[in-house]
Order: sequence, then C-alpha cells, then structure tokens
Amino acid sequence: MRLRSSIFTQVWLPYSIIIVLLIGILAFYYPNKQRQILSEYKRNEINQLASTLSNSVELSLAKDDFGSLQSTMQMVSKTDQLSVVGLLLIDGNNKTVSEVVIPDTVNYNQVIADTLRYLTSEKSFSVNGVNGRVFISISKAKMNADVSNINRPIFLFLTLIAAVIMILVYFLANMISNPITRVQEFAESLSKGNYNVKIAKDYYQAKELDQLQISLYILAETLDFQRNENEKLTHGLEEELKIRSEKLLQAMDELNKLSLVAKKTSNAVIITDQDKKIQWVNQSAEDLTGYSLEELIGKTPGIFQSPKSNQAEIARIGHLLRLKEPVWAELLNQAKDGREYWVSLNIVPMKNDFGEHTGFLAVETDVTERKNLELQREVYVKQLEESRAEINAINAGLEQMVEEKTKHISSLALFPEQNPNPVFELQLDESMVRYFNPAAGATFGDLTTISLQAFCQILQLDLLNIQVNERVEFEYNGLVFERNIFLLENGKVLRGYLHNITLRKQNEKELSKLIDQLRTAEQDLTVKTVELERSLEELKIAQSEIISKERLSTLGMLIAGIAHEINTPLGSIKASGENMKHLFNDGIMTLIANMKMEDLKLSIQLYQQTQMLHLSTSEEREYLQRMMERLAMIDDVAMKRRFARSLVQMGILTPNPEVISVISQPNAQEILQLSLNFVLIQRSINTTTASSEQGSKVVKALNSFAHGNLNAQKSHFNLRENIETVLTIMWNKIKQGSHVVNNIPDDVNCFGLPDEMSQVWTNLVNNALQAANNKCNISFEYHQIQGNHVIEISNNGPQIPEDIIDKIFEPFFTTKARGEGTGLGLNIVRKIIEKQGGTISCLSDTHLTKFTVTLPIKFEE
Amino acid sequence: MNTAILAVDDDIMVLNSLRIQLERKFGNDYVLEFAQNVEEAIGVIQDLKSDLIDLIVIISDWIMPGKNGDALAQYVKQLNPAIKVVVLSGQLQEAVALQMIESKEIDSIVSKPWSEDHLIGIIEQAIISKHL
Repeated sequence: MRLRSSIFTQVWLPYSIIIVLLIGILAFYYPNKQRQILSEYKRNEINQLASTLSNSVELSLAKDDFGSLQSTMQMVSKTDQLSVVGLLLIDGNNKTVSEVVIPDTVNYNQVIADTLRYLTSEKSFSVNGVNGRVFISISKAKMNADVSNINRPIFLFLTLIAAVIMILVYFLANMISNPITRVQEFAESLSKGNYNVKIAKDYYQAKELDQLQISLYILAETLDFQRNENEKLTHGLEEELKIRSEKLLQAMDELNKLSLVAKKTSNAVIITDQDKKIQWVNQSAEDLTGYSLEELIGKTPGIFQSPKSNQAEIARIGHLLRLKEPVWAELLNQAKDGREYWVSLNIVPMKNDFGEHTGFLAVETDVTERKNLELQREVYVKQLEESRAEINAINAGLEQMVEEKTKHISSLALFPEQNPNPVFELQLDESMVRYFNPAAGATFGDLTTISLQAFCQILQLDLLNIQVNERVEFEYNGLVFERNIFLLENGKVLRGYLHNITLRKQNEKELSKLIDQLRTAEQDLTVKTVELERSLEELKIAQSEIISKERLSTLGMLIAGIAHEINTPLGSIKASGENMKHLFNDGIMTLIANMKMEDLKLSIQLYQQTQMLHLSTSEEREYLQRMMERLAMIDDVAMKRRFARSLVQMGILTPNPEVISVISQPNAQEILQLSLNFVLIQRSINTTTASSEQGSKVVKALNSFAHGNLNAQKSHFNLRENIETVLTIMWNKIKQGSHVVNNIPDDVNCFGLPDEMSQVWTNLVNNALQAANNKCNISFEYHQIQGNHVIEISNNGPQIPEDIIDKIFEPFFTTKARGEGTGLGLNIVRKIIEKQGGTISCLSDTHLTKFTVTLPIKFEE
Repeated sequence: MNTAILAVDDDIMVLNSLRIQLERKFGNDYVLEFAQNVEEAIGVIQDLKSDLIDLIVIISDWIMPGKNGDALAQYVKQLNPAIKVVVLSGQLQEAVALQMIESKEIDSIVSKPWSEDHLIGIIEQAIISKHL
C-alpha cells in the first residue's frame, strides 16, 4: 500500500495538477487572443460595411432615393453583429442637418464617445454638395458573448481530454503499482524468512507481469531451495565457525600476550606495513625515539636516522628488507630532540596465515652505552698508542737529556764551584778539609776553621769505617742531606757530594704519617670489628641464656610441686623400708618363735587365701562394716573390729568356714596377725616398687625438662608422651582443682625439638593454671591440617582482655607481679615454635581461651 | 577404744605405709581411720562424732585434689580446737609452716619423706598435749 500511495502522490497527483494548470493557462490566454482576432476581423468587416454603406448612401443620394437609403440602413443594421447603424448629413458648417440612427435609442455622439462599449467604423462622403457621414458600431459585450460562445465547446473538449488522461493515468498507475506492491509484499515476506508465500495469479492480466510473477515464482523456489541448502551448510559452518573462533581466541590470547610483551618490554618495538610505514610502536620506542605514536604512524623508520648514520649499513638493511629477509644491525639513530643513540636492531618480516607478507616487526635495543664504551675504548687505544709514541719520543729525549746531564754532572764534578749542592774533599792522611765548594761554605760556614772530626760528626761519617758508594742521610741545621762519598788518590782523599733532600724527606714524613694514621684507623676498625663480633657472640649467648633462664624460672615455679611429687613416693619408700624391718623382726620372726606348729600351719593356710586388693579408703570402710556384721559371733567389739580389719586388709572379704574356724581358735589373734604381716610385707614391697617407679617417672620428666639443651639436634618424638611428661611434672599443681584432658592420639610423631616443646606446654599449662587460680579445665586436642600438626590447648579460665591479647607474645610483657614472671614466657614459646617452622595464635572469650600451635609435619630448616 | 586417729592423703601408698606404722603403735588403743581427700575426711570426722568417738589427732597431707589440707585444718579447728592437726607434706615450706603453727592453724609439721620415730613422736606429743 505504501508503494501505491507513493505512486499516486508522486506520479498521478503532479501530473493532474500540471494538466489543470495547462487548461487554466489556455482558458485564460485563448479567449483574449480570440477576442483580439475577432475584433480585428469585425473591424475590417464593419470598415467594409461602412464603405459599402457609404457607397450605397452616395448612390442613393445621387439618385435622391432616400427610401432605398433607409432600407439599406435597415438591412445593414439587421446584419447580425451590428449593433448601431447611423447616417448623418452635414452642412457646410459641419453642422448636423439630419441624423438617422438605428436603433434610435442612442445617438451618434453617444456611440462615438463610448469606445469601451462599442467598436465603431465611420465613413464620410459627399454627393451633390451634400456632405454626410455613415457609421457602424458593434457592441463589444455582444462580441465577447460571441467569443464565449465560440470558446465554450473548446474548453469542454479540453476538460474532457484532461479527464480522460487523468483516468488513464490513474489506471496506469494502478496497473503498475499493484504488481509492484505485490512484489514488494512478496519480497518483504521473503526477507522475513517466509519462503512459502505465493502470488495470486488473477491480480494481473498483463503478459509482462505474468512473466514477472513467473520469475518471482522461480526466484522464490530457488530461494527456498537455497535456504534448505544453506541450512545444511550452516550446521557445517557453525562447527567450522566454532573451531575457527576457538583458534581465533587462542591466536588472540597469544597476540595479547605478545602485545603485552611488546608493550611492556624495555626494548623498542616498531611495527610497519609492507611499505615500511609505521603502524604501531610501543612505549619504549616512544621513550627511545622521543616521538609519540601519533607522530610516527604513517612515517617510515627513516625518520630515526641521523645524518651520521652509516649509509652503507642502511643500504644493506634496505636490500635485505626488499628480499623480505630478517635483519640484524647496529645503527646510530637520532631522537626527536637531536639526541643520538645507538640501537641494536632486529627486523623480522611478518606474514599472515596465507603466507602473504604484511609488514615488518623491528625490535630495537638501546646500546648507546655499550657503543659509547666501545668508541671510548677505541679512543683510548688510539690515545694509548699516541702516548706510547710520545713516551718513546720522551724516552729518546730523556736518553739524550741523561746523556747531556751526565755530561753536565761530569762537568760539575770537574767544576764543583758551580755545583749548587755542597761538595768537599777531605785530605785523610793530613786530617784536614782540603776543599769545599761555595755551596758547602754557605751551608756549613768556613770549613777550614773547623776540625775534620767535627765535620765528620756533622756528616755522621766514621773515618775508621768508610763505606763508599753508600748513600747516607744526615740532618744538619734542620736540613736533611744525603751524602755520597768516594775515595780518591789511593784512599788518601775522600770526596763527598751532599744532596739536599729536606723537602723530599718532609714529604716522605708526612706521607708516612698519613699511612700511620691510616694503619691506626684500620687497626681500630679491626679491633672494633672483633669487639662487635664478640658482642654479637655474647648477645647470642645471652639470648640463649635468657631462654635457659626462662626455662629455669618456669622450673623454679614448679620446683615446690615437683618436690612434693618426689617426696611423696620417697616417704612411702622410706616408711615401707622401716615397716618391713619391724614387720620382719617383730611381726614375723618373734611371732613364729612363739607359735605352735599347728597355728603356724593355719596361719600359712590363711595366708594362701589372701589376695592383693587395691581398695580405696571408703571401699575399705564399707567392707569393714560388712565384715563386722559377718563376725557377729565375736562378742568383744574391739577384737571383732581388729579381726575384721585384718581380714579386709588381707583381701578376704567373704570369710569361708575355714576362715571362720581359724577365727574361732584360741590363738586366732596371733594366727591372723602372722598372715596379715605376710600380706603387709608383700604390700610394703609393692609400695616400694610402685613408689620408686612413680618417683623415677617424675625424675625422668624433670630430667628431660630441665636438661633441655638449646643446641639440641632435632629428633623424632611422640607428641602425647612429650605432653604427658609435662603433665607429670605439673601434676601436683593440676590436681589442686584442675582437670586436664589429653586427647592427643598415641601415634602422633613429630620431628623437632622435644625438650623445647615441653617448655611450650609447661608455659601454656602453667599460665592457664595461674590465671584460673589453679582451678580450670584444660584440654589438648589434635588435628592434622594441610601438612601441619595442629594442637589446640584450651582452657575455661578467665578471658585474656582484648586490649592485651595482641601483646601476649611480645617480650617482657607480663601481667604477673614483679618478680613472679620474666615476661618472656610466651615470647620464648613463640620463638621455639617459629624455630621449628610452626606458628602459635591465641583466641580468648569469656568461655574459652584457646592457643593453637601448628608444627609442620615435614620440618626442614 | 573411744578415741581415734585420722590419716588423710591422696596417695594410697602413703596411707598404706602410714597404716602399718600407726597400726603397730596405736592399733591396740585407738580407732584408726583413713581418707583419701578432704571431703571424705570430713565425712569420717562426722561419723566418728556421731559414734561418740573422740578424734584426737589428724595427720594430713597438704596438697590434694579438690580441697587442700588448709581447708581440713580450718574445719577441724572450727569443730574443736583441741583436735591436733599434724601436717605430713612433701612441699610445705618451713617458714610458712612455722607461721601457721604460730597462728595455731595447725599443730605440727612432718616433712615427707618422714622418719617413723619422728612421726610417732609427734603424734604421741599431740596425744599427750591433748590430754593435758
């Protein structure tokens, strides 16, 4: 529908408007033209009529036939178009004598004057002295009516034609637009994927449209077929697409990594297209070249070249790049700011998946420093060579100079007068100064006036032991000289040359002073280093001592309890020893000596019925009570009590008739006592053994605890036993109202420092007991988490205040009164655990305080 | 046999050894009672009282699970200050003990390990002073 309406608005409507306009123009223009043509034609006609009339009037006048004149005029006036016909007769004074006007409703002057209404033709004539005038006028209104009459059919005709055209156009538009609209709708359906739409055939008559329709049919079918094909293909393509997109993702991933590398590398990376136009550079390249990426894009790397760049090398690079060969080169480049730098560059041609060359990748490393060093080295080598040449020259010069000097010196020897250094000669056999030059005189005064001995003293020269050719230094008047002596004339004459070396000596002295100072400083440093090392060593020892002391301090706090734990079994042992002695001497030997054989037998029989029971005192009381009831037959309460007690002590809880019969014996008391004494000796022996074991257990625990060697080797130890040892030592404390549950499994073996670990448990348990005033429940729990032993030591004592819980592991932090604790306990605990690669942490609330110790199962230092 | 001696110690072996010693020396003349903790001891004391048996000496350990010897001493002295309390301890320090003797919280102290003669002597002394 859209198409149709657009055809109507765009084709039919403008076309109709143009036709209407054309008709309008025609309707406006054509009548005027007609009117002009008509009025021209009428004018000619009435002019001719006027002439005819004038002639007719002249003729009539000549014949004097006015009647015919009148009829002529009538005839003329009746001629269709003429409106007014008139005849005027005029005298010589141009005055109207007679006037005939048909119709007589108007007169001549009115008609002549009214040119708007009338078209008038006028003719003058003169016949027989009579002047006259005829006129014929046509009404313009009538004439227009005539024109209209003529035009109407023309307009009707035109309008008809226009209407016909418009209708034709309308149909034509319909005919064209309908199929197009159908095709459009069809195409729209197709585009929406509805391939099954069909075009109704009866819409169209035109052959061409039939063909179009047929073509569309074929098109639709083809499309349908292709669509099906496409669907089949699509599946394949989708798979393909998946694989490709995965590959693409991988490639992108790789590319990302690569680009990350390219971005992040400190090397400059430059990518160009195949025309060597720069497409991308990384940050390092921007930094190196001084150009920004925006400035470089589209430029060639020629921009980096310096006027000083090696042109041959550049040509070589260009040649290799044209061959798409990889290039390695070193070039001098120039940065944007003119700075010159050397790069080692590596250019690789890049190819896409199809093997097509796409551009180049250049990686540049700034080797300016190295290159500069190389250049510098070259310069140095050159300089060195130059220096060597110079030195050679100097050597040559020196040799010459030495030669000259030698000559000079020998000349000086010959002419000592000119020598600026003192020269003298001693006549040894005559003990006198034979000669001295002016320099000697200036230094030592007149040598002729002093004795040879005095002079020799100055010179520090021993005449009895002359060492020639030996340079000896001596001081005189604050000056230092070096003397060189020679013997001449068979040893009779001694010649000496003195060389003033005061300045050199001073320099040497200062130098040696400096060296001394340096040496002293160095020694100081060594001493201080040694001292420091010693301090460090002492500190280490002190530290380990502190740890030991902390251990001993803990031990000290426990020692009273430990004493109790040892003294108690010791008491039992000692008492048992004494008891056994009494029991054996008085209780057995004396009794046996005074007993009859029958009674002794009974006693032994009774003893055979005894058993070793471990009864608590309350159980014992109960059995005693029952036994008293059983022994109702004994009247003497004291004796009954004694017998009952003896039987219970012997472990005879339900006396059989045999026992009862023994009791009934007159010597029952002795018989029972003897049996009882056997039992008591046995019991004493048992007590001694058990107490010894108990004591040795405590001593062993104490030993393993107190003996703790800080430099001990790591070893395997059983965790439960390790903790049990501590609990044994602390048992005296624990039993005063606390309860400890050790839930560590039997089979947990640790590798570490068992002695130090026992210090850890001692500290934690001791702290818990102290905080809870010896009344709390403590539990040891064990887990294995991620390769670690995790030991949780919990107690239900008071909460550790939140404001100090962070500090409890800090050194010298203590809540105990001064002197009660070192404040190092938990700090050392932490150190011990950390030394073994473990951790310790603490959580505390109102219900529970929990220390969590972790120890690596595999502990490696 | 209307007077009693009570020994209290959490260690049964100590009690067994004590029993032999006490039995030998006092078994014929006194009711001997034994307890392993303070609660039990108090129970025994009350039983003796209801049996109209006169308790004259208590030999007690100092540190025990649950209540300590001081609680027992306090109880006994409150009940009857005439009952002698002998502390048999492996731990109580001498200074502390002397102070307690001075303040009459206890009557005497015997350290573990003890000598039989010494202990018996102390008990006899206590019995004599009780009768005085």
